[in-house]
Amino acid sequence: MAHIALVEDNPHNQTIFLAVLRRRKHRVDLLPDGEQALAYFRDHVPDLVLLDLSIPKIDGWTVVRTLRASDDPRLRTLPVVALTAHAMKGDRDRVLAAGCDRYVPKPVSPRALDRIVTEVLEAQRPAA
Amino acid sequence: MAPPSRAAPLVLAAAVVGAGVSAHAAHDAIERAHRATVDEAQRAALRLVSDEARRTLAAAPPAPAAPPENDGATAKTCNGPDCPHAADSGGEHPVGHPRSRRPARRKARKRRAKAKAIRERRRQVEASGPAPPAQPAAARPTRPSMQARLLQFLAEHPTIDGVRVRGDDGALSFAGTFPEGAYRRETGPVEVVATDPAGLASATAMAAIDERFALASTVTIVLVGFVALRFRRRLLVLSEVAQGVAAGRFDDLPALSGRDEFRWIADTLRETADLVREQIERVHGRNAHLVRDLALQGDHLARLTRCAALLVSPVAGDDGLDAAFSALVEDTDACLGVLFEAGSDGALVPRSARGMPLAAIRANAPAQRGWLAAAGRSREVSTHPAWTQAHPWMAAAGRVVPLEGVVTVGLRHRGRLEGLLVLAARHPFPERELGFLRDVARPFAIAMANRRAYHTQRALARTLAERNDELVRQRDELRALDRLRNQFVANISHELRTPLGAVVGYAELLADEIYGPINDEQREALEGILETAAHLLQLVNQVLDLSKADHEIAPEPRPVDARAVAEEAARMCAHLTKTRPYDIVVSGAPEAPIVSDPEYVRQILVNLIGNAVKFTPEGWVRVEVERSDDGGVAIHVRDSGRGIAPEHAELVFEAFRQVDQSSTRAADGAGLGLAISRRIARCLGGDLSLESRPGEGSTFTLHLPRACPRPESPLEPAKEAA
Repeated sequence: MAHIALVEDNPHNQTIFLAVLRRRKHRVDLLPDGEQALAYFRDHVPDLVLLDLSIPKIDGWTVVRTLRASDDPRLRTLPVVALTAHAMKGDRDRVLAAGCDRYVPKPVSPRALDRIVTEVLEAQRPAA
Repeated sequence: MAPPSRAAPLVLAAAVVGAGVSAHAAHDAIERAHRATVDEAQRAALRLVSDEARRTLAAAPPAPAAPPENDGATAKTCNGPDCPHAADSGGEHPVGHPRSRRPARRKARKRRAKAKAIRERRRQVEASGPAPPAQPAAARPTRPSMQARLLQFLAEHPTIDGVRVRGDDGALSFAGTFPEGAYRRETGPVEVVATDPAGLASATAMAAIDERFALASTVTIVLVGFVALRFRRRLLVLSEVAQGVAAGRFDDLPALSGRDEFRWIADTLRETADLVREQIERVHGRNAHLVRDLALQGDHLARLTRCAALLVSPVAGDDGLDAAFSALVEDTDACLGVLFEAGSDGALVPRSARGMPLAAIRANAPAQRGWLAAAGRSREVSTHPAWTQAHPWMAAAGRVVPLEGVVTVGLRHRGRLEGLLVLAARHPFPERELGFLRDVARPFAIAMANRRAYHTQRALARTLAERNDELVRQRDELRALDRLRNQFVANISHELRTPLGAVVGYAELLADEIYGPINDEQREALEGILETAAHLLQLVNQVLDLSKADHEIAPEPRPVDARAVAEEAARMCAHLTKTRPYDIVVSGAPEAPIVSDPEYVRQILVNLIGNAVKFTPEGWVRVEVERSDDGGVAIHVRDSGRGIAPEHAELVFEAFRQVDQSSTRAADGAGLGLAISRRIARCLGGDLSLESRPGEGSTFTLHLPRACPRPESPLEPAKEAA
């Protein structure tokens, strides 16, 4: 049971990810673009962010960099799992360098997502 | 009397005596002789005789009349420095002439003979007593005294031969001869016959003696004077010769006649002068030659320089060559001149003409090709027969007078015939001019070679520039295409994965019964969808990887532990063995530090492990890390699967072939992973190989060098769209 922000514009992915996360009884805030995401983080600090890097208006890269540059230490340490269709060489490093904690190449299978979310939250728990 | 030749001095002396000045003159003459030449003994004898003569003459009657004047004049003439014999008969004096030298040997013999005669006479005189028996006792008191004194004198002076005095009776009253040195050969012993034995004989004897003395002294004086004059004259001539030599006037040196030392010295001087003159002339001649040569060389150089200066410019333009050619034609006084240029094929093409239109040369150049080519082949300057009116170029030039000097100069540089100069002049070219042409050929050839090189290079540069432009254009096009393709790849990647992701996602949701329970058939169908979708996704990824150009595989080398990377890859593949009765085992070297790109290494290993697991349903899959001798590493991925025939081992690395053969069992599921893996391995400086036998499993070995080579910089940094 955690509070998860899902930043994803693709409706199919939204449906699938929501289905996976809700089955685990997580509270999910759905944010369809970067602009709304940044607005959301001004007064919300979720337990985990699932961030699609290819999102409209403000891309995921900017979002994660903004979080990491935030005045709020909770936002700076907020776990961010990047979801991206760009599975090319170098993406992984670049994603991690941008400040993400995990990198999940698309297509993300519900099972893989479920596993990763569980892992990250479990790693988070002792610190929380 | 004595013969004329002998009489001359006597006549002279007689003339002197007969002229009334006789005794005094004789005395004076003796005194002069005394002062001038004779030695002490002679001087003493003369003094004695002179005193006696003075005494005798005081009482004696005058001497007989002198002979005619002309005789004396003749004699004088021949004894003087103006002796006619010197002028005629080549400077030779007749034998017997006072100037004729007596050979020394004869002289010596005669001297010996005379000395003997004197000794004998002396003995006779001494034996016969102080006075001859025929001598009257009543002789004048001076006579015995005279005789005695003469004898005593002769005895005291053995060098004086003596005199002989004979009386009228023919008896010898006194005998003796004068020293030979005082007389020439002609003057032999004097014999005087006295009519009065008491007085006259004595006086005559004395006169004779006096005359002999006078004669001797006169002869001596004359001789001395003559000799002195002769010496002086000859010395003057000699000095004139010497001065002439000293002054460098070698041509008109005075000659000396005769055969004496003066002549010899003069001759030597003249010879020396001749030698000196010869030397000087030779030096002068050589100098003149050198100067002339220098002048020629200077002229030669100046002309060469002029040509060279004109030739320097051809690189900037073609005018220099033509200007130099014009100057050369003018310089050599040629009437016609043609400059041929060797084309790139070596054929001679008329380039410039003087004295006739170039078009005319061009028009009949083919007809001239034969001899031109032959002339071009001869390396040096060659001369040719004169051109007459019949020669086509003469006709073209409108010339009638034959041109005698026809010369061709092959312009060669580094063995290549760059061109040919043809010059025709009214007169044959002198050797010097041919030398000049030979020299001028070099700068001409070099200039032409330079010109050709310049044009070739310019053409090359033009071509290169054009090609470069083309390349730049092509590169830009390729870059644009590359960008497009990258864009396309990125788009495809995104567009294919996203729906595929949705398919997989929905299928999994259904299979996991999120939307409610499903039956087994439905589950099987969903698994089928998932499996196919996964395959499809893999293919999409691989096609995308494969579509990358080599330069897009840009390894970023850094120090890594190959063992750690192998373990990481095994971990990432751990989920694959969940349905297998084995785990992936990593063994071998505990650490294997190399410099490489860990992400690519991992990608290859994941691919190899996935492949091994896929074809090894049971048995084992092992990863072995082995450090190689060269500091690199070999990572073996072994399986106990069904293996592959060796002849097919290489096929697994051929991407599209496998795609083509994807229906066959062997290639099924292998996809493009192996082809991509090998490409990446090679980009890392390593390689990927397979060892396998059917039924005995397979071993893929990834070789990696100690250090991965730096990638070449791509045309443009790969765009990885965010």
